[in-house]
Amino acid sequence: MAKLLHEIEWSEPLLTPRPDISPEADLQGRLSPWLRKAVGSLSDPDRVSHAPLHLMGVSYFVASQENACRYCYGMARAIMKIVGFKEKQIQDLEHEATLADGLTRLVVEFARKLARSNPSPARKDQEALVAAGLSEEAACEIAANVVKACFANRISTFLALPPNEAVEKLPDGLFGSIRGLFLGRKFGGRRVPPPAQFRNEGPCARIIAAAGNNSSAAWLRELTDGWFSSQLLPNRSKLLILAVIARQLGSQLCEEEATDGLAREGFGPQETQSLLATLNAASMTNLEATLLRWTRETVWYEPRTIQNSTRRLLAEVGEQRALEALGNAAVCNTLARLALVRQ
Amino acid sequence: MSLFPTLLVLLAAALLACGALGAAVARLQRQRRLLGQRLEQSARELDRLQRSFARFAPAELVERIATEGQLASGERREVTVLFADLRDFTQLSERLDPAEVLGMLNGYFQAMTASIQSHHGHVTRLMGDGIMSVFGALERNPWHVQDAVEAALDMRESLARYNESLQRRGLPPLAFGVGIHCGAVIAGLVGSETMQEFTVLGDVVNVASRVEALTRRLGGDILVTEDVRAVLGDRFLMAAMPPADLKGKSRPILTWAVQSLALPAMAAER
Repeated sequence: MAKLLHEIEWSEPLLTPRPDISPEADLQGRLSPWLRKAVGSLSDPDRVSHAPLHLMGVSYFVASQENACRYCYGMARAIMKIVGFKEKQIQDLEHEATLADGLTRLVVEFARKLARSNPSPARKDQEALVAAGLSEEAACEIAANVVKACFANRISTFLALPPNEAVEKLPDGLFGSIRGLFLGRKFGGRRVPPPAQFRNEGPCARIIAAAGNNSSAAWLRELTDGWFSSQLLPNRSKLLILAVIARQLGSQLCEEEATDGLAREGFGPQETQSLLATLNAASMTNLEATLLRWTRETVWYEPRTIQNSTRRLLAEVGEQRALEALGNAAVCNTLARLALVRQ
Repeated sequence: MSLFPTLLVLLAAALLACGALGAAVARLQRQRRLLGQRLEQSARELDRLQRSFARFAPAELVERIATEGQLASGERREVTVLFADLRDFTQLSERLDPAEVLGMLNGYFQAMTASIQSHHGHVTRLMGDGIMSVFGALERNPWHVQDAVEAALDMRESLARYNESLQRRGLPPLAFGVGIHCGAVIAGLVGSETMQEFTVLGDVVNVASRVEALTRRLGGDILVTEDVRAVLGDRFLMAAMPPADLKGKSRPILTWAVQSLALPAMAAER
């Protein structure tokens, strides 16, 4: 059951803040290129091709609440107000109690279930959205939007980004609604045609196919390609992280992708299965053992607990590798969750 | 001329009827608003209960209870059960001041709970000086067996540190026995209408408890069953114990004393 904004326990930022620069800008300077690009693009307005705009906002909002991300949940709550949601409507979404619109309720349930993945969502949960009147492409776009939130939530939570008070305060006060008139367009989603150049080819293509053909799917494709081509961690270590998260979530398609990838890296199926059964193999490096131990914590967590674990990881492997590892865990959780709606 | 008083009466009657109707509508609206508020308050209360309940029962179970209202729902799950019990604590508690006894016990529970939780386990019950914990019951955990054994090793280290602090306060050290077994259990809510708790039931629980009792007879502070050892492979250093009779079992069972983690030689970093 999701916590409310004031109930979330949040630690001090993982990285020592610099006084002359915002945490977001500071972070951009420390991340590797692929992660910098992915994180930077999160603040762009949604470009939506198929789903109703308000349902994209609602699904992102409840996913951030479900993941107990103080940073994203606070921002998403403010943006909901800016784009025209009443406080009462927002509270209804937070409590999941008295929603009037049947489709909104279904989308809220789907987004929460996919973000939580305990119990696992399945293909039938996405099909229920189609049965309620959404097009298949719109249902895929909502799924892509939810896992995009899962990525953003994990990055912000692992880093314990301080709440963005400037954005959170925008809709408040005497001029809040006037600001809303001007900022609604900036923060609200934008209706765009599906990306014409989008080709879903490369690692984990079978998983990304579940995101459909839209800007969020293109974002996921670019994220996965960037993750896989980065050389800060060996490909084998990245695939081990993917396999462990997939096994923990019971995400079969994702585990198959990871096992196939590991086979290409010289890790035989038998060795992979033995490693996944015990999280232990003689051929594993110390770094891999440390990363896999931490990775397990990233599937389900209380923010303060994972923030403490991430702090220990930072002390153990250094800033560059720790930041890369948390980017890896965020991508792998995103892919493994998306694959669940295919089973 | 004679029509005027009739119209006046009719108008007055119409006004009265309108007034009565207006009052009735206002009353109904007030009632509707009140009912709405009560419904919302109940929904929020239910939501709050669900959220706090989810901290000690599996999310799936909470969800099922919330949507289907079936308190009796349970399910079969593969889990690992760990029992820990203090040795000779009853005799010790008779010699010490009650406040000291409770202080020692609470410090012990605190340290053991931290070890169990840090290895993805959940303490489901405290019984006197005993602890029952389950691994793999609240969320999907493919590694519940090794988590339980790692938790037991962590508990051993934690107890050693706790004993040092007891010694500094002039108090006697504590010693424990731990029994671990794995298998299928029924997980669900048990209790009466006024008191419910989430627990696991089945032979696995009985065997884990009896294996813990075997530690007194066979020696060794952490004993696991053959089923547990079979899952672990060579991850831990263990010594085979002689077959022992267990209440409720027709044949003697094999147990293993856990010594430590068998750290493999890690491959060089690439």
